Amino acid sequence: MSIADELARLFDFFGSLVCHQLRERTLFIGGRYLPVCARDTGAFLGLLIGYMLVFAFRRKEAKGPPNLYMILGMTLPLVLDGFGQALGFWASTNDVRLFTGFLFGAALAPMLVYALSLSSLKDMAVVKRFIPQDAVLDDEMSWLSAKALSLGVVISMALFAAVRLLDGSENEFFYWIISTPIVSGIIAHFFILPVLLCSAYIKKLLSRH
Amino acid sequence: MLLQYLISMLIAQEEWLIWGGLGLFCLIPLIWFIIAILLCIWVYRDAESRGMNGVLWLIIVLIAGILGLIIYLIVRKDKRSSSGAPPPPPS
Repeated sequence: MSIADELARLFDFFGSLVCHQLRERTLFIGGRYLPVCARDTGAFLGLLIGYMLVFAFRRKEAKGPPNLYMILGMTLPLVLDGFGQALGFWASTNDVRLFTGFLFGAALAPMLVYALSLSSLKDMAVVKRFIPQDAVLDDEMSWLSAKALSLGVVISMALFAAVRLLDGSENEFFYWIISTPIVSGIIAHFFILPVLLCSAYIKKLLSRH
Repeated sequence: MLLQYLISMLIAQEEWLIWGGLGLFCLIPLIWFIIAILLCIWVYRDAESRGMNGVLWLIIVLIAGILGLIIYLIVRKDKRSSSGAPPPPPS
């Protein structure tokens, strides 16, 4: 077994921890199935778009949450598609799953970063640079504007088109370029972040006593 | 070569991988579950403090998750206006 096969197996293992990995719902890129299904592929790549938006367009002086109407508009399609399919109203397609995943991920990342400013992690040096220091949920000035989130929608559409074009390709390079950020996203969000949150909370509790 | 050796070793330890994976698989949802419960409690208390139906919003957030939370943040009333008291005069 080559190193590539072994690494792909490891990626599949991480994917299996968070995803059903049904073959008919998973994209086939670079001669391999991706570690997660189409919806999760979109969501994890969308998270990257969201983090880039936060990095580039956050308003450092603003205290209010990211534009909630845009966030709602971007998360609603995935939830509607998921529920509609689960309840048997319609059968979704991989294209719809992928695209709604992209939008969901791009909206989730700013919300997640903003939520960190309300958590015990807000004093952590790495996090401190990117979160509003005095987050106020009622503040009308959005920390991430509707314009910035609209740009996220456009980037999501472009990336969706790119990934869609790669579906079925045999060039292994594309498998790695897409699956590496996905697996990194799984590790960061499902392993590192919860552990950091817990440890920061425990540290805060201990410092009180 | 070192990377190949490390990955081969990791894959070869099937038992370790399975048990370690299962352990994490149980731990991580548990942590997220606790976070979700804390979020529901916050929504309930916040809604009640604003004169809204806390139980209703708790159920909505419990069922709809993040979508319910976003809808709650959009529709929740202003704390000052829900109290019914007139705003303080400007000083």
